[in-house]
Amino acid sequence: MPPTDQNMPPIEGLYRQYGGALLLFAISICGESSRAQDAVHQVFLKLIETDRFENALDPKAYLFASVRNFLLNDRKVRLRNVPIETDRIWFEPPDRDYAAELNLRRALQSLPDDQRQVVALHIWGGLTFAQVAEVLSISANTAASRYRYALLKLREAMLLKERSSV
Amino acid sequence: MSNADDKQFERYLRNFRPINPEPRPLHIKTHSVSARRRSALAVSAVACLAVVALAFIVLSHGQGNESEQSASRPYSDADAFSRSNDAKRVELPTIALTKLALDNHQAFDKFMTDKTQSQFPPMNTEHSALRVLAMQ
Repeated sequence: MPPTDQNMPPIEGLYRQYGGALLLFAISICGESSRAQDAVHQVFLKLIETDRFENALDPKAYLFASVRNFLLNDRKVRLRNVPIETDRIWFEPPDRDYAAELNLRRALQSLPDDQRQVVALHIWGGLTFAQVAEVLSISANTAASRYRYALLKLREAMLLKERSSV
Repeated sequence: MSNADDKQFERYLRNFRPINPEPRPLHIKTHSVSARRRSALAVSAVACLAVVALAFIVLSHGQGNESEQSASRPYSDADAFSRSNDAKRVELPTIALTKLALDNHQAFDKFMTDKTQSQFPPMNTEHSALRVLAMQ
């Protein structure tokens, strides 16, 4: 995660620190990059306007929950029946290994929605299982269990893909 | 699968950094046609008001100058006589009349007589109404 500047306003710092993870989480919910970007922007704009952020006990979890709520309130997303977008990259891969990025993206796309969300929150959002549970309104045990299943499937999918490409 | 493998796989995954959101496009506010029409109307109304106000100021200033000039100009007897000849048209300001009355009483009397006579019907003609009435 990119470090934040100490002199930066708190909301801007959070945007820089968690913007990418929030976007990934939003994509894992709605499947569309443009709608996900819109959700992240709207959440931050609302935070700036209302300034309710100061009262949040856990700012990080609050941000992810806000993005999720925004998307769930969107009727188009709730009624969506479209597959996840595959034409736009989700990650900046290490060593510009875009083949590995595509491999990971496809593996994530193959996961069920609830498992993909837990992985995005825990790995790239840096949330604990307690925080993941709070964001998704599930128990911490459920979050941990979904994560274990997701990790197993993810690794199998990626290894399978690597073997097939070799 | 061992826990160590899981940790290693997690580390591998964390090497992939999620891309940041793209900058939000700036929406430059363009005025709608009706808004532009409203602002044009407002501008033209203000311009009209300004023109009317300017005209009023210029006219009132001009009149003030005229009366000031006539009041400040020293009133001579010649003036009074020349004016008394066409007293119907010449309207002396009160200040000038007062000055004339103080400085030259005869000229003032003549001016006032001319002015008074000019306001009555002419008595010069033989069959004027006043002359006929006087004879009766």
